[in-house]
Amino acid sequence: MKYRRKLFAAKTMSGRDCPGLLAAAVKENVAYHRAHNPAYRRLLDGMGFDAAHFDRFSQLPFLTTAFLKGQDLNTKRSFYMAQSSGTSGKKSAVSYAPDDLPVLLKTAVHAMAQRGLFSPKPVNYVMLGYRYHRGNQAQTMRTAYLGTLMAPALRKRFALEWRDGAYQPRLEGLLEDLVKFSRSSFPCRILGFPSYLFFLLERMEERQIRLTMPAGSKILLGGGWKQFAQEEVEKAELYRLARERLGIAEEDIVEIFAAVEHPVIYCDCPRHHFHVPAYARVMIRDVHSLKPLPMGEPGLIHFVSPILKGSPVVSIMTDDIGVLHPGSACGCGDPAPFFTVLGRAGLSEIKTCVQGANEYAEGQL
Amino acid sequence: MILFDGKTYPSSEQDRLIGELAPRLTAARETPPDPEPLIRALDTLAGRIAAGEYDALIDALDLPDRDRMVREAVWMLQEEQLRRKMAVELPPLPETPGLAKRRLPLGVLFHIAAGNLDVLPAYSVIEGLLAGNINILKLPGGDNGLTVRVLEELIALCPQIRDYLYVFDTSSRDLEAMKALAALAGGIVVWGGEEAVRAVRALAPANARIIEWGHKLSFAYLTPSYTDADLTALAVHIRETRQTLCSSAQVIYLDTADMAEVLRFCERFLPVLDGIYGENDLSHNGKMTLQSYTARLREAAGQSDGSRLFRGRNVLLTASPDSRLEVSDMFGSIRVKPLPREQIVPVLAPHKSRLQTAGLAVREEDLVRRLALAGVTRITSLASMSRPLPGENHDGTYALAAYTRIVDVEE
Repeated sequence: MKYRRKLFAAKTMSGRDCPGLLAAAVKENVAYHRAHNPAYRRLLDGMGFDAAHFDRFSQLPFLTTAFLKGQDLNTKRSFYMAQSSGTSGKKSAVSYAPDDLPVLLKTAVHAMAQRGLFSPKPVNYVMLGYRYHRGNQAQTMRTAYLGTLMAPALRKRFALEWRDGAYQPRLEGLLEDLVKFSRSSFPCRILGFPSYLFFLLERMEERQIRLTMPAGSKILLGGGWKQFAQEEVEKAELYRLARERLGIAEEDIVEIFAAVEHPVIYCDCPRHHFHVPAYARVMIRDVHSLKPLPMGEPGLIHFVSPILKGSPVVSIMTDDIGVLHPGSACGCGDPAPFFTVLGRAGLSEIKTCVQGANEYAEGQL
Repeated sequence: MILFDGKTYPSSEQDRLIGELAPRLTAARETPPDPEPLIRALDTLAGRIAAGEYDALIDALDLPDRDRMVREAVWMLQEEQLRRKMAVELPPLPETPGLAKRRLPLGVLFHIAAGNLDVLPAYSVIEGLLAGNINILKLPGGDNGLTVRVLEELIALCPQIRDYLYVFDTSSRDLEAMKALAALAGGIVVWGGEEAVRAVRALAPANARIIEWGHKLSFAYLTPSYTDADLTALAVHIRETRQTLCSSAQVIYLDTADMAEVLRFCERFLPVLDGIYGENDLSHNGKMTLQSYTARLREAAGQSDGSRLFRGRNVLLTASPDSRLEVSDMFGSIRVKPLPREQIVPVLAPHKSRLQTAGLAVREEDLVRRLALAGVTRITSLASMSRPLPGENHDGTYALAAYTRIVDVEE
């Protein structure tokens, strides 16, 4: 995979000066999976893919997350299987080949270093999610665990603890932890779903609890927002609450976007936009015709990246609805286009890990 | 917000007000509310709604099918309908030699409302009042304030109900408060799914009667003689309810074992439904398009399960060879399945506790008998599936009767 090696070399990762490189690496990746994965080859043939005349990303049939659920389309068996958190009850497993791991690690470091997330200074972690335990292999938990590796951990506290055979929320304990951490001389990092953080901050507001977390404290958010098309409103409200209740400024809130089926990690810029790196391409497709749409028009988010050898997930359609904007519309200085997630397709029906979290947070009645 | 003694209080007053509740209930229990002034007040309220006095409030709710819902609410609150409801649900008790029969309210009802229908919490309380009970209402999470507004209006029109009406916005996670409220009640009315019912059972005192209005499934049943008018009526029903109500069709069953018949139906119904449904939103269109694309992928991979998808511009029909009753994706997406009439009882009876309405194109005694045997509690025309019908039962029983008890006195 020589084009992939070039694409993920340190000096080309952030630059956009190798125009044909991404296309060459995608072709190479598709050719590799076609040659080594008969099921994928049959699928492409069945969808009418013409390998001999493949010169545009949009010609490559995409897989959907729903299609990947409940089946094994991996090209290689591997020691590491990433699992989605069971949207609508079924799980999908994406296999990473041994030489995928350094690439994944490089992209993660690349994305997170831009927001200054690596620090030698120890921090106190507040994890707004489940404490990982053996029975639960959902990728959200592994991601959360990886999130604690960027700075050494003094202490880790969890919002949900495994007790008596089930996860139990511990709001009171968490508030006490936050008070304790606010008096520490080390920074604090809060990791989790936006909906959990909302719940926590709203309880703090109700009880008029106001803390000032130590300098250098940060909030890392991952996962969806509460309501379709309400994201912008919710974000502004969340930033306000975080500043007011925890003394954490907007620029210290970092949002991460990642999907098991498209393991490129996106970290938002200081203006909270997900810019597309040189090793990926994002297309927005029409919700009726599935044709690629011009910038600014909302549709289904389609990702292309030749990142994996273990699994033919080079072209993936997510369940997310979003918009793509030109880089110049951001103003942070990064010229790469950026995408905004508006919500999940058919949100009222699909039960995602985020909705599960909402139910937990808001009680089950 | 809390509504107590006809006044509103902030949520922070909850524990103090719960503490004051018990002595008030004892006093109110001695003299149950009189339904007469309440019926007149509801009739006045219906008149005002019809005259447009509450239009601003109703517009703010952003209801999917506003005019129809307002029309139905007005109809249900009119004196004539309320009297009919009382007559059907609380008929005079039969003369029994040697026994004087009396009907009494359960006393205190604790309503735990669900959030899927805005007017439901208020309506649940009104039913409790009509049956002569004192009512404590726990609002659903994410309540938009409508319930308290409606009940405040009602108190203004009929001040004596003030002592029979208490509304709390307690979180269902506040177990201590939930238990304290449940302990005061002789009957607990719970709206919601199995999760909700299970949670309520856990906190209810052993001697309380639990009245469950659970999640139900409904379906349309057509014989191959269906007409264009039937298809239109069914499409209007799907459009009006977005399939989100207990009485909305989740599956369209055809009286056939022949999959070709099912496919023919889909081809004919698709343009009708698409034409009537109108614009759907990005989110649901995105999902339906993904589903039909995913079906193509499955076919290309040789993994098709025999389903065929018919994607319109804004709707999706899924023809499936099985006869399983399941929740559809709603919002214009519905399954079409074969179910020959001989199979109605064996296939549907296992779901007995979850069945509600069957919509029929033609009322045919043989079909009615089979559907009733299978456990359906409402059999209507396609057009009426989700319309309130005068004197109808609620999930196989009468709400007002369920909120009362009978006392026999030996003569």
